[in-house]
Amino acid sequence: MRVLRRRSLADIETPQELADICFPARGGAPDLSPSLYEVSSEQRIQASTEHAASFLRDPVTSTRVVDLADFSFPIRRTLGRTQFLLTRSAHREGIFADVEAQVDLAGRLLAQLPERTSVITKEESREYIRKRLAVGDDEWKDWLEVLTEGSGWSKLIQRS
Amino acid sequence: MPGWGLEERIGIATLFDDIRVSQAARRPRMARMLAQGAVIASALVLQQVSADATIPRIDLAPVTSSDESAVVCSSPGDEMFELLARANPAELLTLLRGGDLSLANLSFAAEAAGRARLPPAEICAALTPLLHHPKGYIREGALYGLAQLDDVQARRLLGEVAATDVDEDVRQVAVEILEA
Repeated sequence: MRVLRRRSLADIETPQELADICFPARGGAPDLSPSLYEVSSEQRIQASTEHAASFLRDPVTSTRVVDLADFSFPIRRTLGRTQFLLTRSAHREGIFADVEAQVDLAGRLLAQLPERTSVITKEESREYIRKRLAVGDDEWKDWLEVLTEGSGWSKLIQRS
Repeated sequence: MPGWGLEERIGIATLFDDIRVSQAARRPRMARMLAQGAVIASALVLQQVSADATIPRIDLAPVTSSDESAVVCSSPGDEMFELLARANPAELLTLLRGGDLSLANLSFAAEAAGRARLPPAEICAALTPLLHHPKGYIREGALYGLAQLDDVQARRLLGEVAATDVDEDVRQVAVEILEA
């Protein structure tokens, strides 16, 4: 699974366009080892929420994720940089020789885009966090402790 | 100036990786120091990238301590625009208007523009044309830019998109921002 930075994909017409959105450059260079999470479909909400919460995206909006399973491209295990065990241990990096390899994958993905992508809604993330806090999950308690007062996340949790 | 090749760009990407690691490890001082270096390096790369275009050279404004503390890589991939928004926000708006950015970069730059240290009206003026762009993901990027502004005009624009955009995903993003 890869977490995308854009929800709206309806106007994407070419593999290059999709590759640019799925695998944006980092620091001015192509990102040939993009981050992925190897999780089950039941873990999508958890992984997406942990990812978003760790990178403190604010304001909080729903997130589109893409399922890249069975596209047969090499991946390697690397430690994730989130604050949560699942997304640290399930973190992978895709291995692409060059941008063309990413465009090739995007071309195959484009043909199946509606089936391969889904939206994790803000409400699903809020409900997930609310449940974790309700059971006293230490990871989420730690996350909550360092939230900035008045941030989008803070407001979201207060509404829970 | 020597050409900036893959090695220089990988070096900068590594800098950003280190920033993220420092942030995740809650070492804000280290993250700020790395960010300061990344601001300068990124701006130099952007200068070189745009050397053949009509974009003027970037004169880096001094990065103050308050700027540094505000540098947050909110999501992977947008660091150069985020940092440019703080180091030279006028130049970022020039890039937005210049037509030299790829479609994806236009979307990410629009998002970063919301963090530019400029009057909200100026940022709104730069983002408004993008709200009518034929690509939904570019309109979405402009929404994330407007979302950063505590401004009546920005909220009015968000409301218009929430009510009228042809793409349900774009409309929903605008609604969620207004609810936040």
